[in-house]
Formats: sequence, structure tokens, C-alpha cells
Amino acid sequence: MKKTQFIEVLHNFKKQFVTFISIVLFVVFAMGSFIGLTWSSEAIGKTVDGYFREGNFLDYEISSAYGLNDSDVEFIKSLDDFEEAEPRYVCYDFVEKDNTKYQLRIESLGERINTPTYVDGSLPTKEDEMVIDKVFAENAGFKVGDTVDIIFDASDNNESYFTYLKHLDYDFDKFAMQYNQINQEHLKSTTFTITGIIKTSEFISVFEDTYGVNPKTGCAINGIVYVDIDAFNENAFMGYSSIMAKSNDLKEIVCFDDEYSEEIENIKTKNKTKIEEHFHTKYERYISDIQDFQDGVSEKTAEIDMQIGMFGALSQTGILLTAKKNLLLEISEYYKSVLENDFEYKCSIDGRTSNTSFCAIKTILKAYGKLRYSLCALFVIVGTLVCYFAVSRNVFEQTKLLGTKKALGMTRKEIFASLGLFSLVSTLIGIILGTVVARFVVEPVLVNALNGSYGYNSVVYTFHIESVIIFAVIELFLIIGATYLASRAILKRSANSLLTGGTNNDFKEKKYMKTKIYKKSSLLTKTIINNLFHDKRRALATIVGILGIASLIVSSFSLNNFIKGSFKEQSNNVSFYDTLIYEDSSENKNTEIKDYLNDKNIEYSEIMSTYVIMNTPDDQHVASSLFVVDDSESFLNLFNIENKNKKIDKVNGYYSSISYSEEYKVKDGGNISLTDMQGQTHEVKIDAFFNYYLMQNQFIVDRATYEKDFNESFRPNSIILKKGAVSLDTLKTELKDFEGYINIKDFYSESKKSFDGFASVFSIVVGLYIVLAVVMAFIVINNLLTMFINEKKTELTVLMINGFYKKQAKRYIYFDTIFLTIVGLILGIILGVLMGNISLKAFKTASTYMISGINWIAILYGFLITCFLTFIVSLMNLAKINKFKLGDISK
Amino acid sequence: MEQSDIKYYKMLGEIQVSIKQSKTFYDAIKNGLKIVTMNSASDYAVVWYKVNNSYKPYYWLMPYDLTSASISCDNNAINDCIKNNKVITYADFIKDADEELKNSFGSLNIASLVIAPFNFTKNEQGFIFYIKKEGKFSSDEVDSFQILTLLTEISIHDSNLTLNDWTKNKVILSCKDIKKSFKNGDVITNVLKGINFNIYEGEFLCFLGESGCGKSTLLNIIGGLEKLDSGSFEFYGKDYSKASDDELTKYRRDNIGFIFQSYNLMPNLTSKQNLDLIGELVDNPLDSMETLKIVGLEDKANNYPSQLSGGQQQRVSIARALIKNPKIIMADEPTAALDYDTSIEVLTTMEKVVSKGTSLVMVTHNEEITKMADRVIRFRNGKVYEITVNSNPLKAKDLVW
Repeated sequence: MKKTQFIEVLHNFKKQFVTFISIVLFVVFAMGSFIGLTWSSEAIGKTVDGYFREGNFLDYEISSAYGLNDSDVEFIKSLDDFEEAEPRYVCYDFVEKDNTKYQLRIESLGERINTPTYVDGSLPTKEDEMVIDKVFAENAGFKVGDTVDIIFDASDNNESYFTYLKHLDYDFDKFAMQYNQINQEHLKSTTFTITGIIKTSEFISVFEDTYGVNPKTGCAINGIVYVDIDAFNENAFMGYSSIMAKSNDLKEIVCFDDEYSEEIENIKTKNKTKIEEHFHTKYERYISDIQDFQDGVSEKTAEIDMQIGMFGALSQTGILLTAKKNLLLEISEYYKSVLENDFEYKCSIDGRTSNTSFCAIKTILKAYGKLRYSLCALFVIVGTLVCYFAVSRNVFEQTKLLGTKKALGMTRKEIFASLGLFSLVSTLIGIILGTVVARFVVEPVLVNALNGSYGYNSVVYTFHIESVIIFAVIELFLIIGATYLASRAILKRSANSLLTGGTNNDFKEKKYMKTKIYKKSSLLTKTIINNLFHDKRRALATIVGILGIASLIVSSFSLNNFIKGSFKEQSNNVSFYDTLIYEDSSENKNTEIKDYLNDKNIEYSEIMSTYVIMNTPDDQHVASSLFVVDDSESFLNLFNIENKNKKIDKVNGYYSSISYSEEYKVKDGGNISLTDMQGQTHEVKIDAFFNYYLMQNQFIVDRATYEKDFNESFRPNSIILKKGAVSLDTLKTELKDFEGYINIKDFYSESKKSFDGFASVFSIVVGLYIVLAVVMAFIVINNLLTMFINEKKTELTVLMINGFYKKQAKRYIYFDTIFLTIVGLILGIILGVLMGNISLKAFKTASTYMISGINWIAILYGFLITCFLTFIVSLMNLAKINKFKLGDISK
Repeated sequence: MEQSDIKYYKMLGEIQVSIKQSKTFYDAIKNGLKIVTMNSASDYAVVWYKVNNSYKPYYWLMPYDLTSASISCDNNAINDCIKNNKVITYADFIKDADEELKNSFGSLNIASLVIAPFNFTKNEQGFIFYIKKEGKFSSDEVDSFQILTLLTEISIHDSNLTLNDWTKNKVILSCKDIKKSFKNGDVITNVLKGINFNIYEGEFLCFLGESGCGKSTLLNIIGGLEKLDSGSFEFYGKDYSKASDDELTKYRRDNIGFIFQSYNLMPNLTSKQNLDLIGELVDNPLDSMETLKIVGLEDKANNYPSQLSGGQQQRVSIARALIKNPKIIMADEPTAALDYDTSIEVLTTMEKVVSKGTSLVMVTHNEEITKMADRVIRFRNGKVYEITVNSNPLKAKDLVW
């Protein structure tokens, strides 16, 4: 390119500033969304991984339904793949502050694994000291130095008879003396002093105050605290709750990389047999011990009877001896059933990949992955369209100039070189700015958005020049390609044709002109029809532009309304309850609550709410809620198990929320793998999948099936109340002092809050789509209309010279625009509905299901906003007709 | 012999030669007077002749349309001049001249005037005004006017040319002191610097002048396409100089037909539809097929513009201008883009249109075409340089270039 030609291109940047800005902006948007999200995803992964490393977050957690002891810890340590192994206790109790009861998860502090980071204060050194999670401390208003009273949650007692197993090694007399303490507090002390505020790697909660649920009661956990391992009352447990382990082989791998997931599974598979064998040996020893115990029971009871006879049954010693004898018989009876049932003693090995915090982060990263492709595709498509029409307009407006250049001897290539250079430089500037935006805007914003509530210790940012180059090449190819396509037709024309400035007017009779409708049409209609048929490219481009605007708006509002509508649908047609009372039903402690509800005629259903892990075919482990139902009738009055095919009138078998079925294409009668709280995995046959819109998995099973499959007895722990039956405040006040009352959950408000939070994310999407629609309108449609009006300038001027009023002349433009808008709108609405439904799938996971289909409100918005935007752009362009100088006709 | 004498005799010779070479009486007068004006102290000159009971301008060299001016046969000064065959001089025109004489020049500034008797034929008497814008004529100058007038008269009589009068009709459009300027950045260009003329019913008027002299701008103004800065133009007595856009549209719609150099037909409509589109605007349009017949294109009624030759397109364009049955057709260089034969074809069509009583105003660069016109207004530097009347307009087929 010659020097002067280059100078001319430089001048064009000023003259064609809007085109320049359009190209730059869209390249920046596309780069920012794709590279930014890619880097952010990696940066979040690395940042959280760093955070996990600082907290020595466990790689594995080994648990057993029958308790763990130090020999088990030593065994795990002895395995080659495990570098560290440490036991821990976990229990669930309550704490009250300012008349609010909080469900706590209380854990023993790790020394080398899961070590918290201290934000304030110091490590607890005594049995009555604790440290408290930062987010919970902030939410509940706890600070270092505060004293808290732990309220024992009796419903969280460990399976008593199994607890005895560990005592088989001990003096039974001593054990029997302590029997009364066994079902008592989990902790040695009930009053604790807060010595520190900490951050834990185990609960990076994405949704601020959610720490999961109490697996026994299904009650949501409000906070997490740590105490010294010695603060736990070991007699209340059958053993350690779990063993935390770390592996050498995983040290160097970023845990959100696929390699980590693969390696964690490899190590698990490799050691599974050894661990299972270890526990099987232990099981056999227990069985042997139980058998010995059973064998000696008759002898022991006879001996106790003799002693009672000696001391007298009513004496203090006699009473104690009677209790001892009853305990012996009770245990014996239980062991008898254990031996008859031929139970298998199993253990579970969960990798970090099963941790809910890990899964939440991984889900976000996966969502970013999906989002980056859809956003990038959107920006690239819209950007290429914008570039195409902006360049088309420029080329069109320079028709005579291009003709002059051709006439003066410049070749088509040389002319395209200057147009191409313009697009090239604009794109390159966009790429540079886009890279800066991706690295210094998108990445920090997204990484810190997750960091906001929790606060990583340090953030790791990412930058890869290779991804910039690859993306830059794609963008350049598209933009230069669009420039070529936009200028090709004009550059092909002869210099003379360009210089006369006229458009291609070789109009001939077409087939449609022979139709009766055409013949009967007015001249105005004929002219508009002819314009449309003659200038198909413009007509098609305008339709595509309007289609783009309408589809963006319809799809964005559809998405938004699907979310909001899903909650409404859930509330109106699925869950007819709004409150959940957590209760302790042991020893009929809940009688008072039920009497109260019956007296007040409040419709309710008592269920057992628990927690299972759903294992998906692609190795995801999703925490899910399980309702065990005893009274089918009362439950179905408050919970509608229904899908398109049928409505269930009796709970008999397993029922699952439909999201799994949608995600993995499983039909009624298909199987799902569920892992219970003891780590046992069950393949269950789902009788029916039902519509369920809350963003979590819900399983429902009848009592008999549950007890048979899970080998657990039915123990109701929750009561659901009919919507609007009673106010939450009244209920809190009335139930507060009832025996068996634990806590209350405002199910409706919490579900709504969760939906609103999710919907607010979509508000951003709606905003973004509307911005894109406006850009489409003001660049694509505006350029097309400008070109159309310029092309028709002479014709319109002639009409006005010959006596057409301006408004009459304008009809030639706006009737054309109205027709194209109608066609574009119809197609755009159809595409928008499809896009809305397809986009919804991008946000769907194994635990989310939302209403889909045709959303008429979104269509109405799409119609109105598209009409409004087209109207504004048309108005702007029609105003140009007012400025036509009729006298210029002869120039 | 002094240099001034040589110049004087040379001028006398030029007058004789130019009159001898003139083909028409009008040309003889025009050419003779031009030489006199160019070589004398006179700024303007007007030749008057008697029509019925008054004197009318026959030819004039001044920036003012005197077509409608007249002086009664009873005017004392004129009677004195003609009856006594004597030169009348007004050294101070404003002070000495009578009101009738003063009014005959409208707003034109005149400092002094010489009236010299001029006999068109033995029986047709007239006179010539020699006008000075500023200052007074000297006695020598007055004498020279008398001699030159006499010489012109003798030369014309010797050439045997006969007077053939153009019969003008009613004035339908009248322009008074029209001024128009354009601003381009900081530069203001005065395109029209005070234009005065009339358009008569049924006349073929040509605007002639070099590029940039303002003729197209003037056509746009009287066509209602552009607004003037000052002055006025009246159509049938109604002043449109301050008309609104809608009023101008109505004016164009009802009264004016346009023909453009580049035809500007609607490309998506057939010939007939192009006519119907405009015809539908007025209450009593001509029949589109009949109109196409006038321009000789009835067999091309269903052809699209792209299927017609340039000449045919321009004829459709003429038909389009004609279909509204307008009072005036304005044509801006309608043949500029056409070859000779096609131009003649188009001009013949225009000739036909004028013969049916429609006034035609045509802007042209082609001096030959002006020979078809009844009158020609020549512009120079934004002013009317001269207005000439063709007493013997040629037929289109007779034009040669």
C-alpha cells in the first residue's frame, strides 16, 4: 500500500468513527466474554485450589457406619498413596443468639488436614473453647471472647446399639455404669468461649450462609464451629465420625483440572479393595465378639439375678443391677436381629470431588464454560453482522469515490486493501482492548465476585497469549471476511456505473406481477412490493436484523420469566406447604406439636427429611433431599407428585424430581444411584419423575421401601404445614417451649430468596441482551435504513418535486419498514422462543429444572421493544427525508 | 487622425457588417445595439416600438425584464422626440423625467437618459433609450448616440429585413429582484444577485448562461424547490417567496411539471405507472395512455425504465411532467445527456407540448436550442445579462449542432 493510500485510511477512522467504534466494541465484547470467562474460570480454579492448599483441605474422607478408631487411622496412614490421615468428630447441635436458634455443625480441629485460617483470635486450647466460621460469626453477630451455650440436639444421637460395639473391648460393668451418659451431649462442655474467627477450606459457600443440611434431620446448617478433638464426649460416639486423608500423588495437580478428578478416582479404585478388606476383617471380629457376647448373656443375666437377690431389688445396688440386666437383654435382642439380618459391614471413601463446596465451585466453572461459548457466539454473530452492515453503508456512501478511484486506475484489490486495512486495524485495536478488558476487568470482577462473601487469601490471575492469538485470528478472519462480503458487489461494478452513482436498476417483469393480488394493488403497494423483490439483499438483511432484535429480547425475557415462573409453578402446583417444623419425634416428644396443630386445624404432614448424595453417570455427586413418607394421604395433600403423564395418588416406591431425568434422559422406571449418610450406595428404581422447580433434587419414598432398602428405621423429624395456614411468628412463639420442637424453616421465603438470587443473574442477561438489541437496532437497522433512504433519495425527491407531501413520500419507506418489521418480528419471536428454550438448557444441571415453552409475556415484550426500537430508528431516518434538498436533484 | 476617431469609425463599420450579416430583423437590432452599448458611454439600452396605442420594448440590454413595460403614445417627451425627430436628453433623470418614464424601469437605478428617434420601417416609428447608471452623458456622447442610431436605422433599412412581432400572452409568473446566496463554510457565494423577469402563458423560455451563473438555482426557486433569500416570485399574482413547504408542494403539485437531465423515473414502475403515480395527485390529470401517445410512446406503456432508451426515458419523463396538465413545465438541461438525434426527438416532443399551450422554461447550455424559444434570458454572474425575443423561433428539426 502506498503512503498516501495509508494516510487516506487513517483519515477514514475519523470519518467512519461509528463503524470503527462498532467493530472495536464488538471485538472487545467477544474477547472479554470468551477470553475473560476462560481465564476467569482458570483463575477461580487456581485461586480456590490455592485456598484449599493453605487450609490443607482433605483429598479423601473415609467414613464407616460403625465408627472408626485409631487403628483405622493408622491403617489408612500405612497405605502408600496416603501421606496423611487424621480422625475427626462431627456433630450437629444448636446455639441461640438474640432469640434466634442456629443449627451448628461442630467439627474437631485438624492438626495437619483441614486446618483453618485464623482471621481473628487464636486456636482453642481448652475443652470449653471454640473457633467460629467468619461468615457465620458476621451473620449471627458473634465475636472473639463471646460465651455461647450449646443446645444439645437429641435427634442427632448416634445409633446407640452400634455404639456399644466399641465397648465390647472394655469392661462391661464400667460401660453399664456410664450408660445414662451415652445418649447425652456430644461435647463434654455445654458452655464455650469463642477464641477465634476462622475461615475454613471445607465450606467455601457460594451462596453465603449455606453450609448444607443436617444429614439426620434435614435441617439447614446455619454455621460451622470447631473445637478441640478432646472437647468431644467420645462416649456419645461409636467412634470417630471420619478419617481425613491426603495423597502425595495429588499434591501437584490443580484440583479443578480434569486430571485431579481422574487421579482421585484412580487412587480410590487402587486402594478400595485394601480398605474394604481392612473393614471386613474388623467386621468379622465384631461378629465374633457379638457372638461371644450373645453366648455369655445367659450366664451374665443369671449372675446379675443372683446379685439382685442378694442386695434386694429395691435397694440402690439392686436398681442399678436391674438396669444392667435390662441393658444386657436389650443389647442381646438387638444383636440377635443383627446376626439374623446378615448385615454387611461397609465403609465409604469420598474424594474431595464429592465435597459440596468443591462441587459448587466446579458447577460455577462449568457454567462459565457454557456461558463463554454462548456469549462469545452471540457477540461474534452480532459483531460480524454489525461490521458487515456498517462497512456496507460506508461502501455504499462512498460509491462515487470508489468509482473515481477505479476510474483513476486503482484496482479492485487496491481499493479493498484500504477497506480491509480499516477493518484490520479496528479489529486489532479491539483485540488489544479486549485482552486488557478480559485480564483487568472481567477476570478480577468474576474472581472477586466469588471472593466477596468468603475472601480467599490470595487471588491467582491468568493470562495466556496463545488464547489471545487464536481468538484474534478467528476475529480477524470473520471481520475481514465480513468486510469483503460487504464490499464485493460494489467493487465488482464498473467505474462508470459507480460514478453515475445509480443503483442497479435493471428492473424487469417478474412472475409475481402477473398475480391478481399484485395487479389489484395500488401503485404505492406495487412500488413497495417491487422495492422488496428488487432489493432482496437489503430486505433480507433488515429481516435478519429485526429478527435478531426480537429474538434477543424474547429469549432474554423468556429466560427471566422461566425462572420467575418456575417458582410460581412450584408454589402453585407442586409444594402446597410453606413452613417446615423440625422436630424430635423420639419417645413421642412431638406429641405436643401435633396436638397443637390438630387443635388449630392446621393441615400438616409428618415426614422424615434426610439427605442423600445423588451420583450421576458423569461422576457428579449432588446433595439431594429425601422425604420419607409414612402417611401418604396427608403428604400428597401438601405435595403434588405429578408430571405430564400422571399424578401419583399414593406414595409407593421412589419418586424423583425431574431434573435428573431431563439431564440424563432417564424415563420412569430408570435407576439412580444414591449414597446414604452412612456412605452406602443404593441403586434405586424411580417409579416416576415429577415436576419440581426448586433448584435442588428432591426424592420421595414410602416408609416401607426406605426401611427395607436403607436398612434404617423410619424416624419422623419434620412437619410440613399447608401454605398460609398459620403465620410463622405465631408458630415460633407457640411452639417455642414444646418438647420435641427443634427449629422452624420459612420454606416459602427461603425458596423465593434463592429464586430471586438466581433471577437477578438473569436480569444481567436480560440487560445485556437488550443492550445488544439496541446496538443491533442503532447500527444494523439504522445502517440498512440509511442505505435504503439514500438509495431511494432520488426517487423520493422526484416524488416530492412532483407534488408528494413529505408524509406521502415517507410512506414509501415506512410501509416497507413496517412490512419487514412484521416479517422479522414473526421470525424473531419464533427464534426467540427457541433460543430461550435452548439457552435454558445451558443453565440446566442435574438438579435444576425450569418451566419452558412459549412465554407470552416475553413475546409481548419482544414485540413492543422491537417495535419501539424500529420505530425510533425509523423516525430518526425518516427525519432525514425532511432535510432533503429538492434542488439537489439536478446536481 | 486621432486614435478615438479611428475607434469610432471602426465601430460604425462593425455595426454595418453585423446588421448585414443578421438573418432576422430582431438579430439586426440586437447586434447593432450591442455594439453601440459596448463602445459608448451607455450602460443599458432599450429599443421601443409602437404596438396599437402604446410603445413596447422590442429589445433591451439591461438586467430587468421589460417585456410587460409600456409607454403611452401620449407621452410628451416621446411625442417630442418622434414628431420632431430630435434627441431628448435627461441629464438628471430622477429630477427631470415624468412619472411614466420613471415607472417603466421599475426599481432600476438610472442617472441620465437619452431618447433617440428610431424608425423601424417607414411607417413604424420607435425610439431608443440610452441609459447611464451614474453621472451624466456629455454633449458629444449625446451626438454620437444620434449618429449611431441613424446609422443603425439606415443599415437595417438597406438590409431589407422585416419586423416580425412576438405576441405575448398573460404573465403567469413574475420574479422581482430575486436574490439567493449559499454558504459553504465561511465562504458565502451570491448566486443570484437580483433577478427580474416574467413568464408568459404558453411561451417557451430558455435560460442560458455559463456554469455557476445561477440559472438552475433560479429554476429551482421558481419551481418551488428552493427558497429565495429576498425578492419575490408571484404565480398568478400570489406571492410564493415566503410560502411554507406544504404550500410549495401544493404549488408544484397543481402547477408545475418537471423534466430532469437524468430522467429520474421510478425504476420499479412501468412507463404508464410512472405517469399514473403523478397523475393520481391531481384532480383532473390527462389520461396516461393519451399522454404517452403525445410523446409517441404508447407502445412502451408496460415497459420498465431499464427497458427504454435514454431518449425514450426522457420522453416518458416529459409525459410525466405533462400528465398533471401543469401551467409551466420546468426542464433542467433535458438533452444534456443525450446524443443529437435523441435530443431532437426529445425537443420535438417539447415543441408539441408548448404548442398545446403549456409554458416551458428550459435551462440549457446549448445556444442552438435557444433558437426554438420564444424568449431567451441570458445570465451572467448571477444577473440577467439580456433578454431576447425570438421573432422567428426555429423548429426542433431545424436545429443543428
